Amino acid sequence: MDRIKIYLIILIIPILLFSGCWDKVEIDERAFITAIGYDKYEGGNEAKEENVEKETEKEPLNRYIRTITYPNVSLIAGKGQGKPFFVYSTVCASWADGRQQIALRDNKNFYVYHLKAVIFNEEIARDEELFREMFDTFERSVFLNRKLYFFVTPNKAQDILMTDTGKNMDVGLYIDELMSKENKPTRMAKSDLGTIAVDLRESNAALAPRIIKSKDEIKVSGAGVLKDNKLVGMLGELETRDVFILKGKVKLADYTIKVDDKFIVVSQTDLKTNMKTYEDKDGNINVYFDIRAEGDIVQHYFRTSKEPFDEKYIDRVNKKVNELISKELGDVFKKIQKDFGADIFKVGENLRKFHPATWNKIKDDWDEIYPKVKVKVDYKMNIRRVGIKQ
Amino acid sequence: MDRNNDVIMSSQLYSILVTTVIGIGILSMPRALAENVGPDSLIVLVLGSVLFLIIALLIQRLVTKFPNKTIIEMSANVLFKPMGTIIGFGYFLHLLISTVLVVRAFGEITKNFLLLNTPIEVIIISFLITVVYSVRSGIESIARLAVIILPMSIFPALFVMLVAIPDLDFTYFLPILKTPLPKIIKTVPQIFFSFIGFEIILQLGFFVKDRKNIKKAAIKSILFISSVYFVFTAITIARFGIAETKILTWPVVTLFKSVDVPGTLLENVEAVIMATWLLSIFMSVAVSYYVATFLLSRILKSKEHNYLALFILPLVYILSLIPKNIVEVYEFLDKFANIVSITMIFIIPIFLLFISFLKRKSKKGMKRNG
Repeated sequence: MDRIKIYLIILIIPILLFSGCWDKVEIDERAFITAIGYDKYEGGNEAKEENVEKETEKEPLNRYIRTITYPNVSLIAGKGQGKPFFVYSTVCASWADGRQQIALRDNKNFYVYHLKAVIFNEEIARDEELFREMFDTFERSVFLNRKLYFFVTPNKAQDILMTDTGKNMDVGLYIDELMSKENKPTRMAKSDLGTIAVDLRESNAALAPRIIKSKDEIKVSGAGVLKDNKLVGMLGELETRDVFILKGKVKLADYTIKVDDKFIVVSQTDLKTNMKTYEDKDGNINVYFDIRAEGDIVQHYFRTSKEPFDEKYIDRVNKKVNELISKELGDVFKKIQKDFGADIFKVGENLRKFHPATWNKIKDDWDEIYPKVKVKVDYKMNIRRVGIKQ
Repeated sequence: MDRNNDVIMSSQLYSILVTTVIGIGILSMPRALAENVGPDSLIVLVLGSVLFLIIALLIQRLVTKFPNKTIIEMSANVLFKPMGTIIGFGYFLHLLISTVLVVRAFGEITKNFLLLNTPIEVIIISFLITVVYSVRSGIESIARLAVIILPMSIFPALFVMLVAIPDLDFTYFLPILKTPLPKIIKTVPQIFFSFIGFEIILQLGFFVKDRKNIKKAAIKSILFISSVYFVFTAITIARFGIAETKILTWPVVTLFKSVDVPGTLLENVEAVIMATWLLSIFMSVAVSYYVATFLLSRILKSKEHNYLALFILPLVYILSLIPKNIVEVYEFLDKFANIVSITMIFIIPIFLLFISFLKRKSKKGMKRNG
C-alpha cells in the first residue's frame, strides 16, 4: 500500500512541476503592444493590391488602417540590440481582423494587457458608426484596461506612432510617462477610457485628450469634445486649461495680464471651483461658477519702484485679473455651449442630482435647452505673494 | 480515516456564515441595484439588510428552539412526519440548485478573467473535486477552513477598494429618495437574494456546541456581511456612476480591474484579487454542498454522508453545464432567487416558528384547562 502511494506521488509531482513549462512563452517572445492607432481607410489603389493577400472571394470590408507599436523589451532591459520599437500597419475591418492580420507578419506573440494608449484619427472619431464599434470593443474586452488613454488627433495616427521619440522607447510608453508624470501640465485633458465612457453615459459629452504631431515631435495638448458618441470639435491648449479650471480639475495656472501698459504674469494657485445650477423666476436655467484662487506675481518689470509692494496697486491687479479671467472663462463656456452643444461641464447631471424636480421637467428637451443656459463666472483671486523682491 | 468530529463552535459558525453568504452575489449586486433603484441603491441596501437581520433573528429563534434537530426533525415535530422529509428534500434541492448555479457562474468568471485557455468543463470538474474532498472531511474541517479563508478572501478586496477612494464621486447617490416607492419595495427581495446561504444555519445549528451563542454569531455575521456589501456597492457606484454600473456584468470585478495600486510591480492587480475572491466562492459551494449531502443522508437515514458527496458530484457537474450561456445563467438565477429562495429562507422558517408558537400556546391552554 505504502509503495503504491510513493509511486503515485512520484508520478504526480512531475505533473505539477513540469506542466507549467509546457505552454511557456518567454518574455522576449512576447510583444507588449503599448499603443494602437486607427485611421480611416479610404481605399486607394495601393492598398487594394495589398488586399490580394487575403484571397477571399467576398469584397473585404476594410474601414480602418490599424497601426500598432511595441517596444523592444530586451533593449529596454539593456541586453538586446536593434531598433527601440517596432511599428506595424494594416488595413482591416475591425479590431479582431487587424489583430489576426498583424499576427501573420510578426514573429512575436502579441499581448494587449499593457496597452497604454489608443489614438483615433479625427475622421474615425467623427464617424459615429466606427466610433461606437470601437468603443464597444474597448469596453467589452476583458484584456483591455480601463485606465488606458484615449486620444484624438487631427494628424494621421500612423504618423504619430511612427515618431521616434529619441528616448529609446516607443510612443506608447512615452505617452504613458508624459500623461502620468508628477508635474502635470495643465493644458491637456487628462481623462482615460473609463472616465470618457462614464461621462458619455451620464452627460452625453466628454473630453478626450488630443495628440498632435509637428515635425519630429509629438505633443499632447488640447482636447477633443465628444458628444452623441462621436467627436464634434477640438479645443486649443488654453481653452482646455480654462475648461478644466471650470471643472475644478486644475490647481495651478499662469495668466499674462496687461496692467497699466505692462504685461505681468500672475500665477494662480490653489484653485477651487464650485458650480451651482438653479432655475430662475422666468424658467431659465442658470449656471454659476464660484472660483477662488490665490495669486503670485511671478513677472513684473525690472527697476520699477516698489510697485508690486503697494497695496493699492495690488488691489488694482486683483480687480483686473478677476475681471479678465471671469470673462475668459465665461467665453469658453459659451463657446462650447453654442458651437458644440456639448454638456461637458455636467450641468444636466448637476440639475439631476441637486434639482431633480427641475430636471424631470426639462430632461427630454435638454439638447435644446442647454445652449440657452445662462452662465455667470465669478472669479475671485487675491494676490498673496509677490516673490522675493519689492 | 474516521473523522468523527461533528462539533463546531459558534465563532466558527460565524466564519462559515460569512464566507458562505459572501461569494458570487456581490459581484453583480451593484448592477441589480443601480438598474432598479438608481441613486437610492444604498438606502435600499440598508433597508434590505435591516429587514434581513429581523428575518435572521427569526430563523435563529427557530434553531435555538429545537436543540439537536435539523430542519427535517423540526418540521416533523412541528407539523407531521412526512412533512419533515418533504421539507428536508426541498432544502436539499434548493441547496443543490444554488450550488449548481454558483459553480457555473464561478466557471464563467474564472474562464473570463483568469484561465482563458482552459475549457470550462475542466475548471468546473477540478473545482468540484476539491469541494468534494473538503466535504468528505466533515463539518469541522470546513469550519476551520472558513476561519482561515475569511480574512484571506475579503481583506485584499477591501484593500483594493480603499485604493479606489481618491477617484470617487459620491454625488451619484443624489437625488435621495426620488425613486417610486413600489420599485423600492420590489427591489428589497433582491437584497434578500444576496443573503442566500444564510439558511444553512437551520442545519448547522445542529453541530454547534455552545448553543447560547448562536444568536450572537448570527447577528455578527449579518452585520459583517451587510457592511461588506455596503462598502462594495458604495465604492462601485461612486466610481462608475449609475449609467455605467447598469451595463457592467460584474461591476465589482471591473472595479478591481480599473484600480491603479500605486507603486506596484504588478500592473493588473485584478488577477490577484480574483484569485483570493475565488476562495470565498469555494467556501460558498463547499458549505452548501456539505449541507446538501448531509440533508440527503438524513433523509435516506444513512449514518455517513461521505459517500453521498461523490454520488452528487456528476449530478452537479452535468446540471451546471446545462445553461447555454451566461445570459441564461443570470436569468435563471434571478427567477430562482425570487421564488425558491424567498420560500426557503423566509416563508418556511417563519411558518414553522409560527406553528410551533401556536402549538405551545394551545398546549399551555390545555394544561390550564385540564
